[in-house]
Amino acid sequence: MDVKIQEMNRVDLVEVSGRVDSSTAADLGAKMNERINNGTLNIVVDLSQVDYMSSGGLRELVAALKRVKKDGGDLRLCSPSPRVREVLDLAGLDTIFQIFEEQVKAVGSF
Amino acid sequence: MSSSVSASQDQRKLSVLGRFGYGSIPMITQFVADAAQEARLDEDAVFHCQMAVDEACTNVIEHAYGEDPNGNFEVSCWIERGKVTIQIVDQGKSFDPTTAPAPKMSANLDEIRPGGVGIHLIKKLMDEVRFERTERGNVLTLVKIGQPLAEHLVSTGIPVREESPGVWVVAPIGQVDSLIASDLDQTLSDLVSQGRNHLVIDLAEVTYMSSKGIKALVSGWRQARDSGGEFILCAIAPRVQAIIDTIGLGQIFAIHSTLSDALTAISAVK
Repeated sequence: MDVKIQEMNRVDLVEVSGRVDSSTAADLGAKMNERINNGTLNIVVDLSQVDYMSSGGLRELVAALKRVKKDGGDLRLCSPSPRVREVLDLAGLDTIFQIFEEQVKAVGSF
Repeated sequence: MSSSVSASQDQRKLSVLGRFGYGSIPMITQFVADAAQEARLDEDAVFHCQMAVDEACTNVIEHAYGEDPNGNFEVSCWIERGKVTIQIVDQGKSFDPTTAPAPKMSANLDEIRPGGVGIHLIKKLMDEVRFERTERGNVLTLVKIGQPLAEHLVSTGIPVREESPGVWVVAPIGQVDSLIASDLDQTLSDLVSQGRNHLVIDLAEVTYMSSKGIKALVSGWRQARDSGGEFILCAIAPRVQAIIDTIGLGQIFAIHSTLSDALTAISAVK
């Protein structure tokens, strides 16, 4: 798994690639937490390059969402592959995350 | 880590056991994916098995062994056509994931409880989930049944081609073990039931033939003959020939040494 974070005007863009599973999810969580600790409120997580996401990854996304929402921010997702989309839907996360088809729309939504 | 294979007539069991931490999970899910593919599950079902096993192993490491990366456990797969049964056995703390409360996803942030998402996914992804505490330890059994395969000619993977009008060449490859044998059986009876009963069975690439493989050939031969067709074997490797001779089937089958001889013979009959 690889995580790249870009600071944009109103939002941090988190581009994740590879496998987000129980052995790698904590690293994604730590990187988002670091940004949130530095005052980031709005996050877009681009999932287009994620080929696998287990519940470990979902938990980190939910934990980060809860933190930013507390301070009035939001975490939105974009471009999940059909496999990752299926996992988000099965876990019921499609109801708590705003999910966009394209990165530009997710970033523009803030 | 060690692995083992045992086989019975229709079921094959594969196991991996060892001390597994989170880092071992990709290896275990690959092992399960291979087993699910061998059971001829469709691509989605194979992925669902991988995902469910990932979640189940994560639970074992996290709850049964309290994150100790040296927990001992065993993952076994029983392979049948269209069905795989996966069993995960550990000797850690008893943890029955099937009774864990469902996660709560809600628009109200404070109500969200992401714990239990793993087992929730397992239940959604698999057809059957059972937990037992036995003297062997915690036993979690997962069953996945694949989509029924509609088009056997395509799905069995046994190469079939129409060599000349009305003459069909069936060319199995490699070891005709009990699973491949049932593919062969299905392929032959599909062909005959479609009226494609002038058959040449090219065995050039077959290195081993189980008794079920021989039975499939006999059954195909009988069906072809009964429907007024023709059934010819060719290019049999010496070891496979020995099996056919031992059973005394050399007398029943028309056998030619090369494919072209067989094709000449079958067109003459037609």
